[in-house]
Amino acid sequence: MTLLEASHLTKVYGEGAQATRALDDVSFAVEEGEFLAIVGSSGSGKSTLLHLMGGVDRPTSGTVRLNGADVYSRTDEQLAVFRRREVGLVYQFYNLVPVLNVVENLTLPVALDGRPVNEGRLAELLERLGLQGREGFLPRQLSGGQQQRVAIGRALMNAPSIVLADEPTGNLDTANSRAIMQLLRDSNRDFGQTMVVITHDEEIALTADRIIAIEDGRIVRDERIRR
Amino acid sequence: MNAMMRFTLRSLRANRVRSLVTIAGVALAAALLTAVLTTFTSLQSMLYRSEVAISGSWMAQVQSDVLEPLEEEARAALADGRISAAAFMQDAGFGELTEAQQSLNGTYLPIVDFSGDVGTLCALQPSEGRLPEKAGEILLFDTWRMGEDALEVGSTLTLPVGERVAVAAPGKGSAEEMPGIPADGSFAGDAESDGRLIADGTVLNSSIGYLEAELDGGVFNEELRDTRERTYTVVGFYDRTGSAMANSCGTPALTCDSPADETTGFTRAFVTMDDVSSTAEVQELLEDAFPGYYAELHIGLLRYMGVRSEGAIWDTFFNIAAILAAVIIVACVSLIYNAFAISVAERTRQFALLASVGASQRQRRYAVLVEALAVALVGIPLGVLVGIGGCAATFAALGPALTAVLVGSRTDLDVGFALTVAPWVLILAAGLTLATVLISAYVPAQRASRINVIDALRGSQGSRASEKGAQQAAEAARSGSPWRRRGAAGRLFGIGGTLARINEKRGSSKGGAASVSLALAIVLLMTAGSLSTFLGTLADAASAEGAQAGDVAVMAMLVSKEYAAADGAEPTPEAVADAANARFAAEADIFAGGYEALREVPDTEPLGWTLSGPAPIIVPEAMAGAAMHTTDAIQGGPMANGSYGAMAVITYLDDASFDSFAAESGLDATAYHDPDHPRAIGVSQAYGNDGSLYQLMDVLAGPGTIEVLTGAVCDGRAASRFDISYGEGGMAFEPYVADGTGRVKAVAGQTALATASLDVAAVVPKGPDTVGSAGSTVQLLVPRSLAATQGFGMMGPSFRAFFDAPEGHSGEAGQALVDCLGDYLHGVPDADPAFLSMMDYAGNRDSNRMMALVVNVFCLLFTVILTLIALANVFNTITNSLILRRREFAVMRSVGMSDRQFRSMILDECTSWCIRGLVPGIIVSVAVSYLLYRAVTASMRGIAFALPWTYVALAAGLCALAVGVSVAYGMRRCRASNVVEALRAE
Repeated sequence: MTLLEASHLTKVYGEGAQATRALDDVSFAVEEGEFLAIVGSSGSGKSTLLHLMGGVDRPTSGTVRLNGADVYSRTDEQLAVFRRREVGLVYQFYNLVPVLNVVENLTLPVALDGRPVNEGRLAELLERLGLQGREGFLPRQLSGGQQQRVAIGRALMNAPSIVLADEPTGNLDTANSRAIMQLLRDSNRDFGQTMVVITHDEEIALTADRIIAIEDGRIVRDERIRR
Repeated sequence: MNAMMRFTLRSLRANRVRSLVTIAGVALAAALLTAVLTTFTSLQSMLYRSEVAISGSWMAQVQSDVLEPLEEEARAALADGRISAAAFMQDAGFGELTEAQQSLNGTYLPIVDFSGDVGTLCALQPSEGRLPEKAGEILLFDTWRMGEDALEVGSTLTLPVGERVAVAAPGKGSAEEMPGIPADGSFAGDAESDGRLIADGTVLNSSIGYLEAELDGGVFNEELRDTRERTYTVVGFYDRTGSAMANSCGTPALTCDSPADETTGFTRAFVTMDDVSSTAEVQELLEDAFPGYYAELHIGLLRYMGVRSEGAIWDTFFNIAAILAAVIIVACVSLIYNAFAISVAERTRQFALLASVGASQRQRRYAVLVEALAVALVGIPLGVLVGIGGCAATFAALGPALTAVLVGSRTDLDVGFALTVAPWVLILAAGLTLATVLISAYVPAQRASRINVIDALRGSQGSRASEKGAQQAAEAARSGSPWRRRGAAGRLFGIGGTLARINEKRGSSKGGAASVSLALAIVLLMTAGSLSTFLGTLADAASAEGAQAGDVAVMAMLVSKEYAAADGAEPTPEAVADAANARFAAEADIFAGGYEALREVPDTEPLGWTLSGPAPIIVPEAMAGAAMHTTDAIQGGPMANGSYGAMAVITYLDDASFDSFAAESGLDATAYHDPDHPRAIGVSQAYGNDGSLYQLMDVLAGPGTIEVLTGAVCDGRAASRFDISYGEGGMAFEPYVADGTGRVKAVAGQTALATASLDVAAVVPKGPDTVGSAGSTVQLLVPRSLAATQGFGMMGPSFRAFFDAPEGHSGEAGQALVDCLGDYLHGVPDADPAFLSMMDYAGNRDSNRMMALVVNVFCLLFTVILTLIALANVFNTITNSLILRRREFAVMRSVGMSDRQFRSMILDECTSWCIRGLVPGIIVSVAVSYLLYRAVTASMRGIAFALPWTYVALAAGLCALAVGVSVAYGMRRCRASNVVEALRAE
């Protein structure tokens, strides 16, 4: 079943002579439960694509449908609600809120939604992320790997329709990179969590079900990995 | 140029806008400091020039009994530069004056023989004619041009001249000496004056005042002896009596080259010196040049020269300048500090990069300090120029008004307020600004040198959590459920409020800079407000005097007639009162005629006239207002018998004005015209002193009947007036009786009194404008027609008539009116004017307006500039504290924080910044206001300490506005469209 459908996405930054076409008429679909890797060199447009999929940015033209609904027909206020319920975002630089502790960072999307925290899911996530005993730590008291695990936890906490990770291992050493990728893989397998990971590391990309390659804002390759 | 310096200058150029803003801030600081200090020196210079113009440029005077040795010492001191100029004034006898001459010119004509440049040193400038150039010529004071035997240039003055000699007063032993006063009055050095006290027969010089045992309580009178006729040719007149011309027994006449037998020895030498910096130094030079002589310093001049000394007014100026300079420095430190702090914070990664390629801590600190110096190098000269230019422009615009305020009506003095720039001012302003810049840059420089390289480069240095924040975060985790609502803010602002609270508790900066800048804004605005309020109060107090109807008033009083009883008859108080009433009625008729004459004066519009005088009244307790219950608020108070007494003013208003005022006040005017039952309208409020300031106070509580003392006979003699005395039982009225020698004094003894009842039928808070305030006492209004039958025993009432005059010509109109009334009175028998003058209300109002203008412009400029600094600072800190957290906000938004939640979070944070800024801000500003109040009241009384509430409201409003604008701007910079950009790794 198709979870997300992007059609004719175009994104232009700037105006006139300075205009940069970051994405140029990109169309593709993501199946539910799929683990998709998007690869491309620096500046190829892959981060822009991720933001458009996550309802963070608005496309210059084209549409994104998630669960059949047009993402960008929403108002900004509705988009915020959409993001906290339907999308989980993971960044290269973790992007945790510096004054919130591990649990608060994990549960921020729930809190923003005004719902009570599902204590069972929180405990399960903490265990899975290996963060037990560090609940009260602030981000600056954690290692890079641990911070990234908190960020992944935050993305998973609301059981969103889709998790979008932008170079989640880009800032980590090999051992931590492996562990993070394993965590994403496991979440995909155990919860059936749809997962889109941006990377420029072919080895990491090869752990995905499918790889889309982007160059200069266009899809140049779209292949399924057979295991 | 080394690498770090090049880096610094590059980054200054790269961040052009911020660099320009910082330079502007530095320039503003330098400009303000220059302006405050230049105003101070310009003021000092103007006061100095006016003092020189009035009293001369002498710095010290040395006195001696004999001219020659003094002259010799001066010559020696001039030769070796200990003094730079000297002039001499030697006593040359005292002229005996006729009675008519005495009434205009004083007891004697002291004649002074001068040599040296008295024109400059003693400000002796002839207003007409010239200075004497040879023996037998004389320069007289202006009063000699008036009177019956007026003199003019070219006249000859012949008069007996002699020496003053002390004579023991009758009944006082001549052996009794006056301790402390040197016998020959020489005031020569300490050693010589020992034991030489005034004795019977001592020759008195011009430094000793007129001796009259009866008046001064001493044991000597004096007389003129050895008089010989002298004749002088008048060559000129002078009209300014500076302190050099001060003479203890009259205004001196000046001559020169007198024969030796005419001078009497006592000499004053006026000297100036070069390059002195303290009064002690002046004193030292004097003692060296004139050892053993008595000397006096020209303190007024030395003070304005900047030579250190003490004086209340000067302290006030200096303290105000110092407080303003301190406030400006604090404001500018904050502004510049913030600019540098922000500049460093924004370039954290740059500094980390520098560190990673090997820049040492010292080099990084140096980079920021070099930046500060570069900014100062451009900003300070610019600011100094702007400050001088601003002062020049302001003074050019306000010069005449300032001059009028500072030297009053002495427009004949050519001492306009002009820009005076002293080199020390420029150095001090530049030095203070440089210090400000370096202090401001030091902390950010320190911060730049300590940046954690790894964190900064990894981009995770956004960590703004404090040490305490970590503990607090750990505790929060232990407490179980996350996101329990925190306090009222959590309930009010939802999750946004909760996040704001967490940020406040755990964040490292806590919006501190924003709070500090807000606090500072309040302090600056309230300082400006206090200054405006206190100065405004002074200006108001000065202009309140002129609250009168009309543009000009003519005032006159006739010579009063002493009561003369019929031959052999014993005077009775009733007879005394009747005689006074008859005279009062006659004077009222004279002045009624005078007013009719005045109505004919062209170009003036008559408004009415009054006749008023002081009357002792006794008020029953029920009528006495609050101010009468004490003895120090008004002229009166409780009496021993339980009644209340006051030296009231009874004002007779022309009938038309009285009737219209009664009608305006809702009273039946006809009830006040019954000659058999005198009735008055009482004015219930008067100006009184409640201990700290003059203000309106209640003197009459309501209507009733009062007693007026109309006449008194003491020990068989008629009293000519009453005075108030305060004793143990309260106040009492004391009759003054003529003692036959032309003087009046209180006598203790049998006193018989006459009284009249006056029915105060109504009480109004304020009299008509033509009447004005009677000062600190009760005022009673009666119609003029009552004067025919009842004058309440008042002697010598004063007449005032009020007129409107064409704008700008009130002075001329007033003069015309005075001339007209003078001519009229001249033609009336028995109406010798004791007093005839005019009051130029319009002119006063103009000069008060001028003063108010000066004060207001000054306060406005100061307020506007401080407001700009304060608001720029608030804007700077708030927008930057938001922009620096842009990434954090972007994260929150990317995980689904809505605009509404974001807004409520920011709103909550702003509220707590404001509270944390307002509370200490108000506390500090109250303290600064109080300091200013103390500085102002050190030399001027009558101002109460009050917070400038309009400015408090203005400060709060402007701060709220600044916060609102800053937050709106900051939030716009953090909006959703920028989320992607903010999240992208730098």
